[in-house]
Amino acid sequence: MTELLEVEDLVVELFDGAEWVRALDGVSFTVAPGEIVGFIGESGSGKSTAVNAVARLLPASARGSGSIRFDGRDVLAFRQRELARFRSEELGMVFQDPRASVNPVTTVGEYVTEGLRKTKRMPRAAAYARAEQLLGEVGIAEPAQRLAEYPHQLSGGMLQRAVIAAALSTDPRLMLADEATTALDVTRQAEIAAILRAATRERGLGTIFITHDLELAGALCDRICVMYRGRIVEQLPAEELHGGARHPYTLALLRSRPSIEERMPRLPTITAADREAFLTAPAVAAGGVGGASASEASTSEASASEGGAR
Amino acid sequence: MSAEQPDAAPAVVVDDVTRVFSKRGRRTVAVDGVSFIMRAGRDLGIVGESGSGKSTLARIIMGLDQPTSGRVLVHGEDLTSKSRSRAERLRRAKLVQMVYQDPYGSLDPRQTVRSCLVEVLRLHPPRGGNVAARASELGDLVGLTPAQLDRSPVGLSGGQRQRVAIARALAVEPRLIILDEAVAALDISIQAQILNLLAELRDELGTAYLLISHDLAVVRQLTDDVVVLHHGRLVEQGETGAVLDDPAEDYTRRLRDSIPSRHWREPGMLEELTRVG
Repeated sequence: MTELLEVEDLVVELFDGAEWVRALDGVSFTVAPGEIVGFIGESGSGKSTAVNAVARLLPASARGSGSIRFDGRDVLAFRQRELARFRSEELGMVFQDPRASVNPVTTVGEYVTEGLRKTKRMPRAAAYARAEQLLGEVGIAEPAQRLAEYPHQLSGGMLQRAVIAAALSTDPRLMLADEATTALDVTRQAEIAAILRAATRERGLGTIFITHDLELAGALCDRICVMYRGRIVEQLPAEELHGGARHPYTLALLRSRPSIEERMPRLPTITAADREAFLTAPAVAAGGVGGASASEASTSEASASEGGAR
Repeated sequence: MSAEQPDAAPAVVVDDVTRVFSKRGRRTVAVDGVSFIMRAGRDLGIVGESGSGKSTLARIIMGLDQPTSGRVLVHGEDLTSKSRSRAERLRRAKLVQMVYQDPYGSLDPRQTVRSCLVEVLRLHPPRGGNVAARASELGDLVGLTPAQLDRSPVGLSGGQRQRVAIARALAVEPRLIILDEAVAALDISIQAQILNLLAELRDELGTAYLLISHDLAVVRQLTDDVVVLHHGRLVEQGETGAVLDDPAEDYTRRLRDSIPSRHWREPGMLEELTRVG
């Protein structure tokens, strides 16, 4: 499998006003065409930083090392013009709040056709015709009418579909979805998940799906990277999340979540001592399958010997 | 869980409540003829998606909004009449308090956590009258250190701020606490801590919870009974476990099946699920 994106040993430090904070601490992962890679973790784990680094959206003051290769090209070496082309033509981005992505005073049509008109230099009429098709593709009924409407006339779920349509309009090869379903009702969330999965499969996109919801990542993604304090502590095939996870942090997260199937006398919680142990436990990579990098595969072997500190 | 107490007066009676909002000539029926009973000694979940009317109903039970028709009794008192006097408002506060989703928005950043608790305790003096001692006790009860009590809420994490919001509600010693998506914005590990804390406080103090939530797993963990709302109407009610294990209504079933699960991985399953409605 040829990888679309290869991130290797990425270290990022951000200045928080007082000191340098290591936001990413040696992160390596890959994304192949047609594959959804889930990033899960709690606030501050670095999952958004990792994805923003790929889009080179980190603050100018950020410093670090490592490599990011997109289709074999060195993303960190891109000059202005190359970077602008990379972002506008090869990346699609979807964030948590669709209302923050769209301009409230222009129509949905202006928003969805913007990439087509500006990046693809498509004439207005052709761009609107294409936008109609795209809205249909993401399951919006009466697309022509919707294009003429303003964002406030669409529900949150509908607007998020329009954002996805706009993200797909330039035929990107890599989709970055950061908590793209978090603000939505569960039934709407399932719909957006279905749309992202269909787009990934049908267009051969590589999709990075960031979420704090383990169950969602397990249900939707092909592979999962579990992040903790700037590191990927475990990579595994999504269908193995339940039963196959081995890193103590992944296991602790899985246990702390209440279940729809039973009421527990008390939910297991994570102690300060647990948190120390999460840091010293070796990272776990899927045993040689699913595109784990060589360096992670070797730490996976090390993890076989219980408690071996790095 | 707890034994049924058919003779005990219900904690909350919602009797044929309707709330209509009118804006520029357009009528929206937010709550449409909803009736249910929250039994004493049992925690109740109100479940629904956006537009289900669950938050409007919570505001009405809290006495912050009036129904267009119908009435609400909280421990036998009709809260749907407007309260006028200060004494009346203070007495009502003892019946029901509310904890919101966003601990950032509901706390005054200009005062310390301790002074925020003291302010509430001055209005609702504790038994024995020692306000300062009670403030420390409340902090202890919800797992905040003395040092955290002396900070502004701004210096606290999301989970700590939610502990402050719970302590502030408890300061009033209410018989009922409405939790409006109170754990929805928290990280998984923090959410587990707060859910455990709420269960401990219930066992220790006998406070009852009315949980407003879209999260069925949280509802299962914290409540005995559940009411399902859809477009302002009550679609199903019963024991939480029974309703979630075997929903009687299509909408409840769809809500449950929309929760991400391994079934999504079966070919066509997600597509099938999302084609409905």
